[in-house]
Parts: sequence; structure tokens; C-alpha cells
Amino acid sequence: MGNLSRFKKLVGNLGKRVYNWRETKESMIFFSFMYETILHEYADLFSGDYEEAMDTYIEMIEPMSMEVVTKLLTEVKVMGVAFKSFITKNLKDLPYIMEMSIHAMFGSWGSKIFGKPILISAMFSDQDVDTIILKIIQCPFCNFTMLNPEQLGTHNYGKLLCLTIEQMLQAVEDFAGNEYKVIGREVKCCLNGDPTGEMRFWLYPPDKLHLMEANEYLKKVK
Amino acid sequence: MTEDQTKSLIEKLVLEDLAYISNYKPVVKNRISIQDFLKMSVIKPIAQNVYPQLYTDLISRCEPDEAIRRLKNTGRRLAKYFYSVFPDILKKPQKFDEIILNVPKSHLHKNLQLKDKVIENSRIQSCIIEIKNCFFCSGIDKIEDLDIPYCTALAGFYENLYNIKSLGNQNLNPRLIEVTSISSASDERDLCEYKLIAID
Repeated sequence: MGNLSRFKKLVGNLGKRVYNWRETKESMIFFSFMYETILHEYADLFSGDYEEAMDTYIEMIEPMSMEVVTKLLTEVKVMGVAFKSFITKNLKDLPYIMEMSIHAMFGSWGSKIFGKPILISAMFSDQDVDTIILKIIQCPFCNFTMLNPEQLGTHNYGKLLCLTIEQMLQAVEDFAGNEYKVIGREVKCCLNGDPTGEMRFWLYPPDKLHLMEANEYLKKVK
Repeated sequence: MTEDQTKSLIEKLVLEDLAYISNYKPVVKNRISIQDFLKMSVIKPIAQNVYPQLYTDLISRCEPDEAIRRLKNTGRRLAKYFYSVFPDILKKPQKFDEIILNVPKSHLHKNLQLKDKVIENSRIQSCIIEIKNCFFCSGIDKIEDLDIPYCTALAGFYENLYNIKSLGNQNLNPRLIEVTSISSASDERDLCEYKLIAID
């Protein structure tokens, strides 16, 4: 059981809708096209090396993405209630906070793009650390591209989305005062032939950072 | 580059894009419906997360002409992807203004108009595309002291939006256009401007 009361969740459910409704929105089509076109431009700069293009692209986006996500989490207020007031130290609240953030970003499309986040406690996780599993039911990035996934090397195409959610979780945990290092990977991707996509986020406590070396997913996917 | 060289280069790029569009076959089989994809949205701070880095990075890596070429390329591809995913829009008969205005108005920014049109023998020679609340420029912290307009990518987008349609449908007049970015919105003036000229 998490620390968030039913009433608080009710306020959160209303707040996420009001926030998304009030915020200026942009077309997902052009967002996903923009993502692809920039990748091609970098691949062109690096003589057709898409893996290096993705490395550069991600390195470039990472700082701004963290800034945007942190700002959303710590500065946004809806109907006088600060978003950060939903953040608790209890990991059992994390799937709810994730769902709320996803709705705030994508509106009701969030539930069509993603499944419900599931928290697997360290005891039951194959990596021995608390893990969040997030299914991607319909990926707006992969769905319309002609990009050959093999060109990306050890990257998966949804890296940007995965990075944004990883940073959101990191910002939440930092704000909550938990000392986890959050690492996310897209472990299944529609573009690679998987029926649905899947992202996994591992929360490594300071005394278990060494377990990262044994995480097979981190060896396979950048 | 001479006018003829510019024309040949633009034509070559458009024909390559048309080949891409006619061979378009996305990898993923069970896709989101086109109707859903058209309606999907994301909040602006997330949507605007990628372009500023591309712009500053290309400008620091490349000479100005090369940076402009690459920025325009990103916009050209946006038009190519759009027509690939929505081929009906490519086939739909439209007038000059509709081709330039309809897609951006539906998906990018509503306040967009064509001004200072120069028409000779019923054929448009040039005009200015004027945008308020630009998809790229509005609501972002301006990057100062750079000579290349921030939303240069959109020049490539408008250019290709017309040119792909023109060569794809084969009977438009003008046959090809070139679009260059004149200025992007600034703190004092929320207006982005592009010069459109007929080159064939």
C-alpha cells in the first residue's frame, strides 16, 4: 500500500486532466517526424552511422530533457496543488505518479500509448532491484517509420521516450530524497518485431550499484 | 550556386522524395490508425525538446551555408514523411494557397498567411509566408546573436510541401518553388517570415 490517500489520488486524477487541457499541445505526428528527421540528419553527418547518430542525438537531448522534466515535476501547480506534493518516498506510489505524469504529457492518448506501469519489488525482480515495467501498446515513434532497426546497432528506436521517462523517475526519486540511480531501457520494440514495446526501469540503491554490471539488458541495449 | 543549379538540385531531391513516398512501407504491421495518429498530441515543453539542440549543434559544427542546408533538409523530410503517411493529401487537388497553408494550419500553427504576392500571367512569382506563434519559435528562450533564423527548418518544409505535390501531380504552375527563411520571431516581434519564389 502506498502513502497517497484515495482523496489525494482523486485530486491528482483531476489535476492531470486540467493540466493537460490547459497546456499548449503540439501534434504528435510532427513530434515523431521531427525525431526521425533529426536522426537521419545526424546519420548523414556521421557517414551513415545511425548508432553514432543516436549516441550524439541522445547526448545532446539529455540535459534539456532533464531540465524540462524536473521543471514539470517541481514547478507545476494545478488548481493550487503542486505536482510535487504527490511525490512520496514510498515506491508503491511510483506507478501512480508515472501514470499521472504520462497523462499530463500525452493527455488521454497516454493510456492508448502505454499500459499501466507495474512495480516489481526487488524480491521478485530478476535484477534484484525494484523494477518498473511499462508496456508500449502503440508506439507513435515506431509505427510509421521505414527505418531499418538493425541500422541502430545496440539502440532501440524509442530511446528518446525511454530517456524522458527515466529522467522523470530520477527527478521524482531525487525529490523524494531516495538515493536510487534510475536506469531505463527499451527492452522490447515493435520496430524489432515485438508485438508490443516494453520499457524497464531499474532503481539501484547506492549499495547495489554493482548489480548493474550483471544486468543483461544493459549489455544488450544502450 | 546558379539558378539552374539550384533548380536541378531541388528537382533531384524532390524526385528522390517521390520515390520514397511511392515505396513507403512501414516496418511495423499492427499500427495505430491514421485517424488516431492525426489526433494524438503532446504538451509543448516535451514537443519542443529536440529542435533547439539540433539548431545550436548544427550551427556550431557547420559553416553557415551548410547549417542552413542541413536545417532545411530536416524540414524537407517532414513534408516527405507527411505525404508518405497521408498519401490521400498528396493526391488531393489543391490550389497554390491551400497547399502551402492547409497542412501547417491543421498541424503546426494556425496563424499563417501569404502576403505581398507577385502574380504575372496568372502565375505566382513570389510571396512572403508570414507566421505568428510559430511551432518552433513561440514560447522558447531565444538563442541570441545567431545570423541563421531559428526556424529555418520550416523553409524546407514549405518548399517540399509544394514541390512534392507539384511534381507528384505533374500539372502545377509554378512547377517548383524555393523558400528561404528571412527572419524568426524575436522578443520584440512575434513574427516569422519566409520568402517564397517560383523557380520553374
